[in-house]
Amino acid sequence: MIRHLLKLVWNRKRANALIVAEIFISFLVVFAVLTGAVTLITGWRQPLGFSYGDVWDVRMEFDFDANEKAPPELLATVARMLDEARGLPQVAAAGISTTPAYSFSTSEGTRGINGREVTMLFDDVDDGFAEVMKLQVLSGRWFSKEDDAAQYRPVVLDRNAAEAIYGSTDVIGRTFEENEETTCKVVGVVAPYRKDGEASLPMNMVFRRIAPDGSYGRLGNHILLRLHPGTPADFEPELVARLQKVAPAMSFRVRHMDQMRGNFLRTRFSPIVLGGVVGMFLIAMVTLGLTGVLWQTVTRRTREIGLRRALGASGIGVRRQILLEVALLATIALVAGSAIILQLPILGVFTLVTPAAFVTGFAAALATIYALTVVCGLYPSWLASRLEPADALRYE
Amino acid sequence: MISLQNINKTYRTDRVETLALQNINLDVAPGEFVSIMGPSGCGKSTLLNLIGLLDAPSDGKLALDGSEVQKWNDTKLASFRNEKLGFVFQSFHLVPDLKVIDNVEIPLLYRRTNGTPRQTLARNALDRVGLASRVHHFPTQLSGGQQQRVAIARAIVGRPRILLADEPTGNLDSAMGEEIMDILHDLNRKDGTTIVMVTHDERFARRTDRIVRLFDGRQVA
Amino acid sequence: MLANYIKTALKVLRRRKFFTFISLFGISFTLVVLMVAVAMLDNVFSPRQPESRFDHVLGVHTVGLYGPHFGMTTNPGYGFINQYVRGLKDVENMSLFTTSSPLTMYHEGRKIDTHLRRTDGAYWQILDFKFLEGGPFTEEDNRNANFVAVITDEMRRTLFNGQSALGRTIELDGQRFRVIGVVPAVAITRNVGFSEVWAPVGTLKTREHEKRMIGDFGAIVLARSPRDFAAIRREFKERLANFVFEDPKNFDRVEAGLDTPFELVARNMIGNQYQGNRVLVLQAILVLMALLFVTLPTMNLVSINLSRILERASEIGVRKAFGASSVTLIGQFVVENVVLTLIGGAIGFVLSVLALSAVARLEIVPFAVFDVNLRIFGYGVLLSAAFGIISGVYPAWRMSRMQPVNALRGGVL
Repeated sequence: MIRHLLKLVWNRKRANALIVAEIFISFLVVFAVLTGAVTLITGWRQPLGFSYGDVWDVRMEFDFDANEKAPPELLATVARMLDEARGLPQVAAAGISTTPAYSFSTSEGTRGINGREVTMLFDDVDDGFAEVMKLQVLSGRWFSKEDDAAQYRPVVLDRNAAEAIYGSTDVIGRTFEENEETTCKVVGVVAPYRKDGEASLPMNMVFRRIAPDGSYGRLGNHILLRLHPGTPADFEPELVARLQKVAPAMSFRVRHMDQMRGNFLRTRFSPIVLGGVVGMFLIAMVTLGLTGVLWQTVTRRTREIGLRRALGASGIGVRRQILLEVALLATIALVAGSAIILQLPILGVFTLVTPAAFVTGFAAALATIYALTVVCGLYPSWLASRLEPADALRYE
Repeated sequence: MISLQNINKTYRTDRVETLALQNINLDVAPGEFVSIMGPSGCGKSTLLNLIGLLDAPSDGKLALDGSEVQKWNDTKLASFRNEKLGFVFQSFHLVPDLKVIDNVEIPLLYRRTNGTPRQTLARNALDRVGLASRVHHFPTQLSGGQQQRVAIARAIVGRPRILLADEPTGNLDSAMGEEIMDILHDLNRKDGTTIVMVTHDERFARRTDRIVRLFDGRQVA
Repeated sequence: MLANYIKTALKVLRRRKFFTFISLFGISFTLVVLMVAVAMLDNVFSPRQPESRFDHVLGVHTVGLYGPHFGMTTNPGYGFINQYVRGLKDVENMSLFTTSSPLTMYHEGRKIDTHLRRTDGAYWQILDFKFLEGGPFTEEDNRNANFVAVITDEMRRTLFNGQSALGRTIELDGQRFRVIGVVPAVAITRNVGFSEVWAPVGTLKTREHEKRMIGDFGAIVLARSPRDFAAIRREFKERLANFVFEDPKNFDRVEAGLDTPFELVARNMIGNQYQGNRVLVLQAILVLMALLFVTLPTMNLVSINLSRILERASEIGVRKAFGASSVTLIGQFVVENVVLTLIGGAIGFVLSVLALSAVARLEIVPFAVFDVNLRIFGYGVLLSAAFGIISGVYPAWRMSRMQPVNALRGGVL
């Protein structure tokens, strides 16, 4: 039967080529949409590695050239601001970050370490950062005064980074060259830190210490504060007034991290959701179109179908034949599509999605396309199976 | 009017070459009413399609109205069909999406006749076949005989010199068939239209001026 | 003839309801997506208030510094602009301003997120804000560091319940400003025009910025005519050739350009290295994206059209038999398809107006008003006609090549 159908499909190759091409592209679209959806959903449920509730972000605007060391006055001012904040009864902890979670700024770099190319996210932070963000230290320790006299620049890796750089989590005390001038020494490992929160792609996080005396590390311009739960929002003007008094020349903006999160996630997800909606519409359109085309094929082939029935095919048989034909077309398209999709890992798709999401998306896309093409064939095949042989043959 | 010399027509499929017409010689004078007869598959319709320029002969000479047609391009063929030829088919071939009057207007459309004269001409043609009252029906709302009469109206609306009819009575019962034949004879006699008709029916064939008989692609009489 | 084609087209469409529905669904959906994209691009790139004169304006918004180890691209500093952009020949007017920085203000116990941009006096001459009340500050205000501000009507609504704001005081960034003008809100996509509060550059808290080569500033120059762009750019390039590097060990190459808004986006997306081809590359990317998106709908429509045409094979045979040439038939089917797409386009147009207002409500792009103007309507008509022709020509061509005999038999394409 299959071989017979193959012949049929081949003989009508011109008419079928377009349908196959359509299914092929639809498959790619469905794959993209589903893999994206799986990535988003699994990403949403994983632990963040930090806690954003009750955290406020004070963004300071200060002015020194990007490649300069921070001027000592500025360092002193920021230190006084931190002391001022810590002295307030509402504040539980205070720290500095350069690219905080849910902010749109990132610092990313690829370094060749131990013969492998590792892409890392950096954040330059101070000793107070871990307490504010409630990072979970897995081994070693967080930065502290002990590091003041360190010979190498101290860094804390998250578990992903440790595995990516050393292939193990037993990394305390090991070093790597961050660039020609700087060597880093690992003092601790924390649980995977997902800087972009629920929207994070798989990444390797490296925290670099900012030395209190400015001898290494660029001063970050975010002061992060953890407040005691239940602190009212009208503490904010008071806080700003206190900070402004310490640093009259500076400009501030205060945001609550849960608001930053909402804003960030909306901005990140809007295009993805929009793309998904567009993709779904595309698929709906193709489904309808395919139904129409198959319907038309059935009416056009009424004679052939009548002949088959006259030669002894049952209604069910005719129906099954048409569905099989559609499934065959889908298979051709899916084989071609799979050949392309299976190239993606080589092109580095796994920096965007996890292998699990990739496989799930792939399988789900296969199933969806088969299901859709069969659904497209159902009504036309039902029409065909209902034809009386005599009518079918007479049909002109 | 119509002149065929040594016409051959072969169809090529993947492997097999079928000879549909073999060495056909036929002359039809202006105003003549000729019928072509023969068993199924003998090439009657192929012959008619060649004369109607719907298909091209494999070799041989075909002249219509005094001019050789082999070298004509698509546009020239189209305009000749439009102005000089009229067709009536066994299965009517009316456009189901168009009303009777719109179906009849089709040939005039390609002649770029304006709206009002076009309507008048179409109505006259319908009047001639006795269907003036069915102008705004759709083809599916008519009986077989009526549909064929619409088809004839469409064939004659452009006043063609030659009318080609492929088993015009084939799908009709004999009473309706008679009606159609009466209309064709009327056209032949009053307008001097040259008619070539393919038919199965000996009775109708005998009413024409001449019978050409085909067998397996060859002319036998 | 055309009228007749259209008449036939409408009849066919009415009688083949399912096919008509599928086609219209595909067409209108496709056009909604394209129109929304076009409306957004139009919103970003076309000169419109307060940037109406921006077809005469070039801007310096990024400076790239490169060295043996690293490179960076940021906004230019005040010093850079003063030294290398101010005083170019062929320039009618020139303005410098800070980027609009997000700030929080506290007003009567409420927290209000807003944006502040500090500008000079010329800013108000080059941009054509329509003042709802009061007026702009002047270059003299700027020089004297007068604490005056212009706000948007949105801010007026939030701060003063929509009552007159003139003479009222706002506290922002630890400073107090007197409101002297109110302008309509500007879309955040407007690189130069956007802000919510404007104050003189002179009111900056320190004078640190004055010597900086990179920083948080931008500049625009107004040319007498776009024809002068080339000359202005040439002179700017010559000046940059003599750029003084403060730190030649780390940075020895500088890149900056006088850009139109479109060129700026191209520069930010594609980077500095492509030089003159950037605009072409961005255009190519946009066109390619549109083509990629349109592939599936086109294929869908083509296969539906082929089906519809097959169904009408005998009609085609008849028409050929009665004297229609291939060209005429192609014409007829293309017209039919264009009629179909125009109907789909009309539906799509209505839907895109709804979609755009939904986008505006979702505030994905703050303060953007996606008005559907005549130009966008024109784009819509153009897009649908093009789509109709593309998806109609191939099936029509296939059909017209059909032998009349085959067609009459209901033949195979």
